[in-house]
Amino acid sequence: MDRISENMPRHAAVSGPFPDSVSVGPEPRAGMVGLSGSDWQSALAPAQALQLSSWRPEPLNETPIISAAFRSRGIKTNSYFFSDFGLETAAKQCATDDVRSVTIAQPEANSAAQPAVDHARDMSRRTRILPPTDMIKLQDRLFLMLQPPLESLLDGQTMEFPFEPFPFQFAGIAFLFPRYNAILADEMGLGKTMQCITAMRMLLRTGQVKNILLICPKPLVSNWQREFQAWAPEITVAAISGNQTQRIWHWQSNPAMIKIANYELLTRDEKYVTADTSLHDLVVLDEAQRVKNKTNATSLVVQKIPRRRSWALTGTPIENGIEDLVGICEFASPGTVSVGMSPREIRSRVGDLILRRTKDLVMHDMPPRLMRDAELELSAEQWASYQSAENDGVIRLNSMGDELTIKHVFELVLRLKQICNFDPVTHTSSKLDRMLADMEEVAASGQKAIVFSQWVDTLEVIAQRLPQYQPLQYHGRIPANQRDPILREFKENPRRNVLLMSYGAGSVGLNLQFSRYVFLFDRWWNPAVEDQAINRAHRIGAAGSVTITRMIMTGTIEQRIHDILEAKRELFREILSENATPNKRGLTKDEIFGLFNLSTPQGKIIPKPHAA
Amino acid sequence: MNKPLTNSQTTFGFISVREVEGLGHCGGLLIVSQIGRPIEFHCSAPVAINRAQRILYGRTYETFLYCEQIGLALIDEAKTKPQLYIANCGPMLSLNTLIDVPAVVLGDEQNAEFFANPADFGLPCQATSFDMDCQTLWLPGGHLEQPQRLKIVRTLMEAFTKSLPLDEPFERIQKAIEEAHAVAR
Repeated sequence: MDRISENMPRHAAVSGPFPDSVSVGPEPRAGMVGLSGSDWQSALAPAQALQLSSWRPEPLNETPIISAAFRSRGIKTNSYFFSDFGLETAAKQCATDDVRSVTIAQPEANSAAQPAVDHARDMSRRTRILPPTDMIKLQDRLFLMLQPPLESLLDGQTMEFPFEPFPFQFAGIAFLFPRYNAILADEMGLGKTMQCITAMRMLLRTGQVKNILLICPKPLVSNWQREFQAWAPEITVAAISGNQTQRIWHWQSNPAMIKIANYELLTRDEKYVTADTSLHDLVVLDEAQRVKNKTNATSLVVQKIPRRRSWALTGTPIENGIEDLVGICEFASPGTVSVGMSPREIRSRVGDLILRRTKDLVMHDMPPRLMRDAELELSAEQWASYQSAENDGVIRLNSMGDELTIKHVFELVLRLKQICNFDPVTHTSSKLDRMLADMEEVAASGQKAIVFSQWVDTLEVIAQRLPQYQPLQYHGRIPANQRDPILREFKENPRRNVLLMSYGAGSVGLNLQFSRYVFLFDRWWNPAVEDQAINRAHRIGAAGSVTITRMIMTGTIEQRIHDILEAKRELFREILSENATPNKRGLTKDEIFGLFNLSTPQGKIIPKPHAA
Repeated sequence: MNKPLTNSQTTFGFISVREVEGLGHCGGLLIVSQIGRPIEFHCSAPVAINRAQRILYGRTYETFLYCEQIGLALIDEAKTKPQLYIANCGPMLSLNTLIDVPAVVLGDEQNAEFFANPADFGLPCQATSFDMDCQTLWLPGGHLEQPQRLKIVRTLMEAFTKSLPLDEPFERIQKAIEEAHAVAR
């Protein structure tokens, strides 16, 4: 009847399963004994075992006994052992001798939206690293699920940051970190760069990746370098550039953990970047909409790069239609979706692949974005030129009959848009008059403004008309090596109030959140590009409200394009919020023809297919 | 416990048993480093208690099942021996009678009934509480024994990261148990 012996190790005494049987009968009368053990245990005063030596049960001659037998069984357990995650130790291994020591950037005065890291953080915030659905091994899944929250992993004990990330940014990092295939499609200005850098930093520190190739548009290479310097200063970064010999050295021998290449050189260096020997643990495409056409030369090279992980960053995963997303997926997760699939099927297949958040969704404390449509009338000279051009143009288009292509219509649209900017003869401009008035206010209040136009010629005319504000220019005619100094000058010189930018050069990747005013001098065809331009200023770190002025000439082609784009913007907003069917965002051929209501006596003109 | 603790040595075992509806009682042991990173995880298959067992063990069945059955089975599997076990179920305070490593229990509302009358649940000793980092922890023993044990526990817990509340690892255990059982099904 002894169940616990004085001399028996306590652990061993109770390691069995449920008792084999329990007898219902007289209760034993037990004496109490003390136990020997560790300091910890000796403090436990109560009795532990029964002293049975002097006890004799009464005879049970007449007492019926009922036995309830319990089936004996052991407790089955499953065990998982994890290797060192390495975050607290790998920092030293990660940094090499030629890397400067870690310094923490000071928060900028205009970055009040991101408070400095406070170690006494809100401990209720817990961002979990969840395994992707395609991760099969339970051991791997548990390894991720059992990690402490990102807020704890990144709390400054192991990795330091210039600013504390926002909760949604933690979620983005937690999304990227465990994934081999991912598309981070946050709206512009939400910090995709920082999220990506941090996830890369964690992968490098944990030894899960050793070499990373980052591909971005050429103007953004220096921006990425700056961001790495701010968010992951211990990581070695090399931008691939120079003549062929230098680039070959970069591709084949540069020991940097992260190599940055621009899209433009990929086709030239295809042989090296796609070589089997240049396997990358991770390839990241920034502004991944550049590969939306999966058959263009750059896309084909990108798809062939040997890699283990594929991440794509884009603020506009669907710029014109579902095909864009298919093109990006061809890199990020080849074969997941194809053009013939229904939108519903695509949505179900990419559900775990794409993370998209909008500012409205996550940035409740972002400064407001004030949209202001400046509906202006053409000057008399502009109006005369405009009417003449439109009438002549429409007559000409109508007379072309079956020869008419979308290219011809497009040419007329561009011509009319240019007249809306400036009269071609007198250079009068209602837009510029309005902007001059606005600029006085901007400069008087010590603020800065960015002016976007589709044409460099327009920007140069504006520059000539605004000498008092010493405008800076940033567009395709500015050599690449002069662009960064221009941005620095704009940021640091209080007398430089205006930056003139082309949509092509300045709409992506630049952080100009110190600007409180944006002027869209003319309208781009695609709302996504306009949004990108606006978000140069209206992004995380914006010091205050950002006022966007869209110049629209009433009763002109601009008004008609504006109405169509607004309808599309609304439709797309609805699509994104409800995850419904994405649709075209730019102007379709019918819409472009519809701008002039073109027709012949035989009926509506059916345009021939032609690349616009 | 005589050796001075260093960060590299200190590990903590978070242990929990919860009843999963329709399955039974499932246990999980998560051994973590001082900054809360997982080193080992052990989980038990569900253990169902039948009616006869409930009647026979009365209110002590949880103590027996959580500690002697599931708890020890999990602890036996561990290759790393933690310096301190932290549980979130009141009955698991009885682990102190079974192993030679301190085990404390995180006080929460679910444990209120247990700590009101621990003897009713088969705890063979008294229990007293103390506060640390805004959280209440329960120790075995009465007030006379507490100072020495409190010193031991405080010394150990000083090594644990301040960026994680003590109830956080139990969330991980719960999710991991659910994941493991989902795969098993």
